[in-house]
Amino acid sequence: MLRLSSRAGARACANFRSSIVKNLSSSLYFSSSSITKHKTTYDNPLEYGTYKSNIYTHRLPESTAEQSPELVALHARLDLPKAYSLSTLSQALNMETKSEGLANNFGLNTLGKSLLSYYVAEYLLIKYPRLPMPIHNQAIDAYMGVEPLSSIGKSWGIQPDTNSKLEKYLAQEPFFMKYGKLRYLEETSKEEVKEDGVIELTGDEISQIEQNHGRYTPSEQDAYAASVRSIIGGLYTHTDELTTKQFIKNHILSRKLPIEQMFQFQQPMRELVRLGDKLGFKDPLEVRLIAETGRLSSHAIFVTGVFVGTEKLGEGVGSSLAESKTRAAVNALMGYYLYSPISSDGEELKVPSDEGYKFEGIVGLGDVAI
Amino acid sequence: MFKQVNHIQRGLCQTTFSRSIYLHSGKRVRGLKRNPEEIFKTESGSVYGTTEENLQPLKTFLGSSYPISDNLLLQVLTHKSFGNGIKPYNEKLAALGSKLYNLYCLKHITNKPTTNTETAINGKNLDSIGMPLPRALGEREPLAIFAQVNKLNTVMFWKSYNHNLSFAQSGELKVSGQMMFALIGAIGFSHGKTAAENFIEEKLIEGTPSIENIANEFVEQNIRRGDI
Repeated sequence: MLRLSSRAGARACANFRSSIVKNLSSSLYFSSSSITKHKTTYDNPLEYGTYKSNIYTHRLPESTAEQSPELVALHARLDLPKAYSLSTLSQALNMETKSEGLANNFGLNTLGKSLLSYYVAEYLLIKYPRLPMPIHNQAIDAYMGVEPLSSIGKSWGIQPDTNSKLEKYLAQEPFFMKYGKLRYLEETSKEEVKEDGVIELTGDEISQIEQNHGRYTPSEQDAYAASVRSIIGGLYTHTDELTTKQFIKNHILSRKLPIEQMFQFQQPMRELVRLGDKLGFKDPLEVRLIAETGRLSSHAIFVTGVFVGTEKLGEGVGSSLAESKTRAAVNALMGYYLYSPISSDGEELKVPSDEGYKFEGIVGLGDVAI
Repeated sequence: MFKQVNHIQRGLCQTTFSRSIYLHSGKRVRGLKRNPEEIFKTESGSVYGTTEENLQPLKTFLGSSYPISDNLLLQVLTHKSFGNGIKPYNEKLAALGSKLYNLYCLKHITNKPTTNTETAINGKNLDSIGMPLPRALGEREPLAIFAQVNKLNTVMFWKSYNHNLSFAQSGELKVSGQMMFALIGAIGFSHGKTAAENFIEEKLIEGTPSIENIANEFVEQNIRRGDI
């Protein structure tokens, strides 16, 4: 249940004001580096090593991070290499934009997203080269979208930092405990009294729903997904790409994805005919009745095949001729789209980032317009 | 027009139907099949196929270090808009190429030696991520300009709703950028990720002009226009 706050109007005005301030401040990126109020300064835009943020000025000391039992436990649970520092792991859990100069996970998140995007896309393009683009994009989303990454983050045992300063004080919680938690809430929203099943939306969140065609992604889900991506980005910074690839393989690509359930055909026969045109079949597409029983009974069964010359592309069983024909066309399309090539040794194909990669698969030719 | 031909074979009558299809030339008429020789042609008159004339610009650019088969090169040059998507087009190649290029760019900017000792992680400076130039470097616009400067997009199989418009307005910028992503993807598919990264390093980053300088100029233009 969503409830609009009575203060929504006032907040919207405040958001508008803050957006103006943001727009003004964004122009500061490009002015001379001698002015100290810049968000990020650099000697020359092409010298990437000289970029320096003036807002996020320091990282958590390793000695402080080591005191957080949750960080140590998460490090051990994910079996991260020793080179992966606890301060980086803590930074991966920091989404705060208004912290006291402590570096947040923006850079790690972007880096992790790029790594994930490449390795997931590479895997799908080699394993299922003929997937239609909408299904391919859905499959990518199913592997590394906000929802799956968020549930992975929860399964890793990451806890959000939801207690206010007062609650922490009353519970006598040491200050370093928060460095092992997912920090995404502002102090004011932690203090708000929450009602079960009721989500109060801010002006920003309402406009996001409109942009996402009515889909609402809770900020907690976003934060969990960002933390998972950041942990992957952090792994790359401390180790190498090969180790990161193996981590992505173990935690993300190892999940079973029922791609065959993602298909929905509007006009399968028409699509098959267009596909035949695209593939340049010499013979025309034909639908032939292979077997039937009980045509005049109430439980008739028809077996229909879709053929090109003497080659059978698909077969379908139905209680009417039309149904069996449609099922045969769907069967043929699924057989084509879900084709997964194998190597000459009968093994799974290597992906371009593998050692000793040799191109043995196929490249998708593109979808057909129906 | 249908013709009916009867063959008498071993006492059985086999009927074969053959039909001649009218292939229409000229303006599109609903229901009539168009002449392929006419539709598989670009606005500038290049005929679709693996001819030397079509592939020469890309082959010269790739040199002998990154050979790609003619059919794959033709697919690199073909956009979804050409011939109603009936010919193999470059969408899947670009899907790999764009991800590979983006990842390369991020590694390129973060792995540079840094003077930022406060927030760099293990010598990798992440403060530049999200800044205008590093962000623009991974986008398709600078790549499209690179393709135009190096005349790699002189032959591309695509269709605009109006070819007379400017580079950006006609959609040529987007199609050229996609073609460059597809080229990187094609090298990735043919020779592997390391070879594709070497290609980006050698031909784009160290190329003349460098993609970094093009991206920098692109960002400065946008700032002057007030887009950023």
